[in-house]
Amino acid sequence: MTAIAWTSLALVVLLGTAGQLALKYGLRPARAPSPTLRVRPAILIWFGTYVLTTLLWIFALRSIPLSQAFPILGLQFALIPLASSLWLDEEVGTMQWVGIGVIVLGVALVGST
Amino acid sequence: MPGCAGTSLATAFSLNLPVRTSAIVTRHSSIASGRRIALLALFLSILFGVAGQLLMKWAALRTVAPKGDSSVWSLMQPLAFALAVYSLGIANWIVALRRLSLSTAYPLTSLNYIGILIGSYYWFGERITLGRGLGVTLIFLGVLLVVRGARGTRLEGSSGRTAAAGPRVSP
Repeated sequence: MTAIAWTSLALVVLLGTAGQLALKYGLRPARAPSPTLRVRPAILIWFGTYVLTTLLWIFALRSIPLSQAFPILGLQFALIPLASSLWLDEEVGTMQWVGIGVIVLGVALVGST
Repeated sequence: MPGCAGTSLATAFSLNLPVRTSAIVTRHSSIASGRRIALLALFLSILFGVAGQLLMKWAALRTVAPKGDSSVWSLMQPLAFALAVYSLGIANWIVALRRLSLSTAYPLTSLNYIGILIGSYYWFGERITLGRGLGVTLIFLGVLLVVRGARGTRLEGSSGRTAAAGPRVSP
């Protein structure tokens, strides 16, 4: 039971990160202006992850204390810059890397207590 | 979701919503009152965000045995209420971000952590250990570093509008 809850919390963090990446990708400027309003698939992916993470989050909250689960969501602050430097060619500076390390440390501390 | 929507929506909206700059420039008093309204919206977004998270925890706990009813419908009603409150937080965040810079607004959302720690202690009897308090402090400091680091490199210029779109752990 608890293992499933922790797995869903991990999925919330990972899918949340993937969703933000998809949204950012979906919001990239169009090459040519289009006369028709069309939703890009990437934005639909973001919406899908949004719905799914909401359900998984509620499921995780059934057994994980809120004061523990909520700070762990902060891991996304570390994962999203990491992923956007890997896949979206965004620049991540030294200070940001240090920040990412500090966040990971904090999440580890919250997760272990 | 728990967290990420605020900035994404704000980002999406800030690309499209024209801010009536002419009206702002011509009337100095409206700048001050606009800022006051933005700060009020920021405060409300934090308040609704914390309340939304606490209500989600409450909705989840209602489904837990032995007292709880784990049917889908028993979950839907409190969940819909929690999400409605939560989305008020998102709406207020968007209003706040139209006037305030992210580097001003963002650090203040760390009040979310404090509100949630206090709320889960008060309503759900959770133990707030030293490790949790310390961990939250570290996460907050790390987020500050990430936001500050991003400011110089990507918040400037035309391509910078969406740069600071990290996840929001708050409303």
